Formats: sequence, structure tokens, C-alpha cells
Amino acid sequence: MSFSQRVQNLPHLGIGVSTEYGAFRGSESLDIMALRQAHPQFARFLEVGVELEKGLDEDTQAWIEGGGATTFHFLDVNLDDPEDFDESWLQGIRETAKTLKPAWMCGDAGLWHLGPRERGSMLLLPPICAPDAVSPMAEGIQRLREEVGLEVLPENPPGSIFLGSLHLLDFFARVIDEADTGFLLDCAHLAIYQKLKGLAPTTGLDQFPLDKVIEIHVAGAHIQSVDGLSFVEDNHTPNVLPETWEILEYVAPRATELRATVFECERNPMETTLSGFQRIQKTLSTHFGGIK
Amino acid sequence: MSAQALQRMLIRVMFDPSLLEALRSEPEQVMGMESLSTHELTDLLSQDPRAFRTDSHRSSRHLQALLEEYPVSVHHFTQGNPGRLLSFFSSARFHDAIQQWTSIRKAFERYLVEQAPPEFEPLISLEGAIATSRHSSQNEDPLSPGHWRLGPSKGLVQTPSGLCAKYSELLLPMKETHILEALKSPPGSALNLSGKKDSWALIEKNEAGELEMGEIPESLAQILLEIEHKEVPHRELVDIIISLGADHREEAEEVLQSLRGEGLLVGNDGLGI
Repeated sequence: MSFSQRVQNLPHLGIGVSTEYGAFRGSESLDIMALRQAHPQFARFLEVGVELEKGLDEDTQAWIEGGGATTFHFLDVNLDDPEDFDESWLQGIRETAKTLKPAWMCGDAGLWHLGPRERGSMLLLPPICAPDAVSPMAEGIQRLREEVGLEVLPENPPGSIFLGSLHLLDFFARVIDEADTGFLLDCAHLAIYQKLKGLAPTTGLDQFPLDKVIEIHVAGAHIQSVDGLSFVEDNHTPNVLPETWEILEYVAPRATELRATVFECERNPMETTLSGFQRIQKTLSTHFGGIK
Repeated sequence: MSAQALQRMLIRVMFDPSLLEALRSEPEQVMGMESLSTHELTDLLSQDPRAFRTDSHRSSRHLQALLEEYPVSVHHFTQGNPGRLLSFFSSARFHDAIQQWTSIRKAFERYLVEQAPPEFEPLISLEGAIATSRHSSQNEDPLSPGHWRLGPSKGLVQTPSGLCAKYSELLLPMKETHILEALKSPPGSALNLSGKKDSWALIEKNEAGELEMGEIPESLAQILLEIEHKEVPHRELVDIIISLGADHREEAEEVLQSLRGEGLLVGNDGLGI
């Protein structure tokens, strides 16, 4: 069955929040249960970032026990490396999926660790956007989908250096076509990329198959500099860059199969996040207006 | 795959920006260059060099995780200055590990062995074996019928007699302080490492996930060594046990079942076990 058929089985989740191990435990962190109680329309699901070595934290366990919907964001697999799909890791992923019962899997399609997966080797770098990097990535996505039995949506990662002859969106268009899958568009990461390359925020989106965008991420960022070079750091604050909003506003009406949007603001007090949630809701009203 | 070669070179430059200069001036001398096209090298060198330094804590973060794997060795070797080991990221060991895509931790272990005085080697090897057991997971690969292998999360290392006990003594106060904090001060006592490797240590992760270690007899070590990295047919293992001192096959079989009972070995006797 092709993705265009399979997508019909994916649920409409609406707007949700991301987390990873311990993210809700900071003194300023979002109280996800309070958000769900006060503003349920902004906490329809929890995107759970999982590094298998760390497992699931108490907040995620509580969310699941309360019947909350989830998506499963991997944080520890180099999709383009067949060696990364060892049976022990796959078994852990299957068990975690059994616990989370996620609507799908997703995650940055980049480099999560150096060499074999081990302590001290974790990081996140974007892929080399070159034609010969497309097939290994697509094969990894297909493999994970088959091994776990869930849709696997690659996400465009952040970065400070992007190499390769292809525009990031062209690269991922080829990947999702070859893997026959959907896409998680991180608007903040794309804004970082376009700014680094000196391009307008929406460059390349007119050629991208936006009907394959199943999930969107929105997050804040801030401008930093090193020796006079300014760059954008994706910091998951509520301070969303204008370029990120511009991308969201371009994509929203064109992403005909959109199922979910995450506001990545898990380490911020609820009151500072509400205007961001409201703007996302307004921008996506045609998609999620009917979700109660 | 060329994109892969470019990614590995990019990583090496990010951790060791001095490599950029070598790529500019003498690219043919840089390991891994043979896998890069001229276009890819140009792509890499055309980046603003400051962009490689946007994460000023990258190396420190990775080093911290590595230090926690070798706490006692690092404590006594660096004498309160673990930051000197940031030099690992510009060493041939690091560059080679990235280029070959092999374990960064093991590359760090080899680097430590090279940098520290020779008497540190058994201690570093012990901490390496502990790290391997700590992070090992259940081997899910099915065992061939009639074959045996080492039980999961077990490690063997040859050490000077008494090192295991001494190691535990040295580690305990560091854990109480928190290892990274403890590393900032010189150790309170000298290490006094000496002696040849005349003993074997077995490291095991128990069901609660805690590590246990202790010295084991030479004969047991020899049995375990035979199956440490491979499956061994039942008959061959029985012969090995006889060669190591069992009086007859029945006794060797008893030894095997006893080791299985202790979880040191796993076996598939052909009945689906």
C-alpha cells in the first residue's frame, strides 16, 4: 500500500507539546497536565523524545497512564547507517512503542551519534544534502517502518553548517519520495537553514510536496554570534522568529494531509507559551478547528 | 559513499578546527582525503571558519561523558586537571575513530593508555572492561543448536592481583562526591600501581543492572575466554574443560551445567533452550 493510501489511517492529532527525558522537571518547565486542564486544545498529544538508554520519565508515564495520545520521536538512530539497526536497539524500540502506543514515529533525519551508539558519542548534525546520501536515508526509514510497524516521518534537522549540492528541501523531497513516506517539517529548523544560506524563508517550498507534510514543528530561537558571525540557535523558547511564522503561514494552507503540530516549548512556564499556541491555532484553524 | 566521507571530514573539523589549515595547505596529507572529491573539499573549505565553532562546548560535553567511563584512571593521571584530555579530539586516535566509524570510547581508552605512564595500563583496561559491561545489552541473536557462548553483560580482563578491590576503594569516595566534581581535585592518595597481570577479573551486570566484579580462578577464565567473542560447539567446549583439568566428560558436563546455572554461560542444547 502506498503512503498516499496509508496516510488515510493516520489520526488527526491537532496541537501538542514535545518532551524528552526530564524536560518537564526544570523549575521553569511547562506543567503539561496543567496545560491540558486549562487549555486542552493545546495539549492534544505529547511528542515523546526517546533515547533508549534513558527510557521514559515519570511525566511521560503519567501522560500515558492518563490515556494521552503520543507520537514517538527517536533521538538515537542514524537512519542512513544499517549497522545502527541492531536487534537489541530494535527490541527496545518495539517495547517502547508498545508502551507509548504512538500514532507514528518521527525524528530528525541526521547524525545522532558518532561511530557506534554509545555514551559520549551523542550529538545532532544535519545530513550531507547530496544525491548519494538519499538512498541510504530512504532505506533506513523503510527498514525502521517495517521493523516497528509504524509510519516513520523524517524531520529536517537544525545545524550551523549544511554541506552538499542540494537544497535541504530538495534533498528531503527525494528522500520521502524514495522511502514512500510523509514528512515532519520543522519550521524553525528550516528558518535556520534558509538564513544560513542567505535565502528567503520560503525558498524551495513551492517545489516541495507539501501534501506529504504530516506534522509541523514550531519553536523559538535566538540569534547568537561567534567572533562576529551571527547564527540562529534553536532553543525551544516561546520566542518564535518572524521567519518561522512566515514558513508556517506559507505551509499551513498547502499541507493538505497535516495531522499534527507541535509547539516545542517544554521548558517554559505555561503563561509564556500561550500566545504562541494561540497563533499556531489561528494559523491552522482550517486543519484543527474541528478537533475538540 | 562520498557524502559519508564528507560528513566524517566535517565532524573532524568541528572537533578539531586546526584540521582546516591542513586541508587548505596540504590536503593530500590528510587522512581520508582520498575519499573526497575536489568539489566536496571546496564545499567544506568555502564555509565560514567561524561556523565550525558555533558550539564552543561540544568537545567538553563529549569529554565529560568519556571521563565518567574512566574516573579513577583520569583522576590519578590528570591530578585534578582533566581538561588536559581535550587534546584527545585533535589526536590521531580520535581522527582515526571518526574516519573508520569505530568506538569513540575505545579510541579514548587507547589514547589514555598512550598518554599515561605504563603502570596505568591495567587500571585503564579494567575501567574499559567495566564500561563495556555497563553498556552491553542482552545478545538477542539466536544461539545455534548445540552451541555455547558467554552470558550477557559479562566482561573478562587480566589484571594484577588485588586491583579489583583497590579500584572499588578508590572509586567509592569519587562517587560520593560526584565523579566530575571529584576529578577537579588531585586524589588524596598515591595510586602505587605495580605488579604483573597475574589475575583475571570477571565483571558482571546483575539483574538490577548493577555491576559486580571480582577475581576468578585461571581455569575458569580460560573457559570463559574461549567463548567470550564466539559461539562454541558443545563437544569442543567439553574438550576444552577436560584439557583444563576435568577428569572425564561427566565432570566436564557437570562444570558446564554449573556455569550455566550461575549465568556465566548460555547454551542451546538443541531442545530450544
